[in-house]
Amino acid sequence: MSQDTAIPTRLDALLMRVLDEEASAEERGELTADPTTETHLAALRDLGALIRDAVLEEAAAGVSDVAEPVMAALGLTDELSDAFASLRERADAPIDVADSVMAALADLEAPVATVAAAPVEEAPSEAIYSALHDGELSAQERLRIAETLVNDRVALNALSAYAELGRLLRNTLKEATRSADLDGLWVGVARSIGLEDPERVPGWEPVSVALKAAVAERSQLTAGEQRELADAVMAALPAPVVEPVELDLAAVETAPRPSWFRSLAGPALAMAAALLVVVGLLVPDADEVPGTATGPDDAEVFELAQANDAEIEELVLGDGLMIHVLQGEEEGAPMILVIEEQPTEDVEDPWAQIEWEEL
Amino acid sequence: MEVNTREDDARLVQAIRDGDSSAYRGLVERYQGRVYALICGMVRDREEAHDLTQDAFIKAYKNLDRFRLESSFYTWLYRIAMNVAIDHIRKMKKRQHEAFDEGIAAKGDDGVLDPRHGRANPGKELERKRLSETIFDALDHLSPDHRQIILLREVEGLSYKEISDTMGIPEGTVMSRLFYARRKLRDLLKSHLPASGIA
Repeated sequence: MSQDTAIPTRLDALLMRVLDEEASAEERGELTADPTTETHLAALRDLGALIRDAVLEEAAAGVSDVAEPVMAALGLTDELSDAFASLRERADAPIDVADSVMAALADLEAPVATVAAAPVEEAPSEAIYSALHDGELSAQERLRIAETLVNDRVALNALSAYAELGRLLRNTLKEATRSADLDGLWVGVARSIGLEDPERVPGWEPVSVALKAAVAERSQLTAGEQRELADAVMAALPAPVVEPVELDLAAVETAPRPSWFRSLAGPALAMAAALLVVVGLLVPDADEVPGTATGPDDAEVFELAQANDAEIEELVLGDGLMIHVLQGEEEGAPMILVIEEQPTEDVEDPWAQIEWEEL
Repeated sequence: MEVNTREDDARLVQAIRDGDSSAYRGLVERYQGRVYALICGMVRDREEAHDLTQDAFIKAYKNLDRFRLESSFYTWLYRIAMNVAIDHIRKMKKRQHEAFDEGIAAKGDDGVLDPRHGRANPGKELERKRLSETIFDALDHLSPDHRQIILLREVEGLSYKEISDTMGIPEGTVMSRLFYARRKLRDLLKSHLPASGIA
């Protein structure tokens, strides 16, 4: 702000007294007689508009600190820190901000009408190099500077320093950001805005959740009725595609035993031995078994179930899971695993589900 | 690319307005690094910067209905973030004075920041760490206005016009304020910069 624009005038003081409703009749008469009064009043009206715009814009953006933008809109800077602090204090209070701004301005010694012009802070001539570095000069200005720049060591040094400053700042903040753990930031934000499950993504819930929600929304079913409905839906769904395949055991080569075999081999072989005994008990009459072999030279053929070309890569033995192991007595005979997810109490049932042509 | 980002931001904002609050995650994760860097430059303390970044996003969310879809979400966001940082600085004014005193102690006789400052922790002996501390020391010595303007220019890469719109100051003021901010930084970081010419 230049010095000449900061000198308060008698007219400014009179105007402020009128605005504050403190002007006497004589002072009002003096204002009326002054031919420049209208110009000053117009400037004051512009100032009012500036303040309103600044306050409304910031209020619309939800920014509580309105003091700074208001001061910026008025072209006031840090040298008016007292007024600045006053504005800030008042802006925090639940009162009309515009009134606070006007009250703070009334305390200023600077004339309001000249402030309304929002003067640009004057830049020293050296600032041109800063603007050149930022690419903010017109082509004409750039050309003019370029003519002298080659021989201007001071300017060249300045430009180098600006470039290095920018690099240092960017690298420092990039490094600070890189080392910051921002992974949990969303969780904090989500909880603050009322999201119970920050990780929930609409549309990615299991189908069963969506079905349940849809049913619950459209009907008022009891828990039992909901179960019945679910059972009916499941019963109506087509069974998984299970295609029987024939396996020629004679053609099956013994594959290298995987690592899991070692952990299962002990209990599995023990179980196999026990099950072979059971099988022996279960197959007293080979004629009752479908696909009975017709002669000693016939290949041993099992009818196994294969679904979706799935291959067993890992076995887990846990609650509700039983693995039956079957292996011929001869050395190198292939091992057959039957995996049952819901074993029954009856040992005989799993075998009843297996169809074989010959064992 | 920028247009696509802006359109994508607008879609996310619209989704949030339509009731899908989880869509805000896309905006948070897209901009958290940039907002954090800006706030970190303003307040220095990493943990405070983290909390203030979170506050800025929460504040933006709560005022999302006031955001104009045709505008740039990030421009709107960093204005809020900057105000959150400035509010914080104001509230911590007393602490800042203490930091300032400490900062003066870190200066040498010539007023230049001692590059060894911030080396109290033996674990931070690495040159890069020291330099980082020195840069943050220098930023601490700038006024919030100067800190803000140089961050918007050097880190965000905003044009004078964009800075003018963001800070609500004339472009001419942007030019002069940037110059003064740079001059002060140059004085403080003299030992890390090419030979000075313009003081």
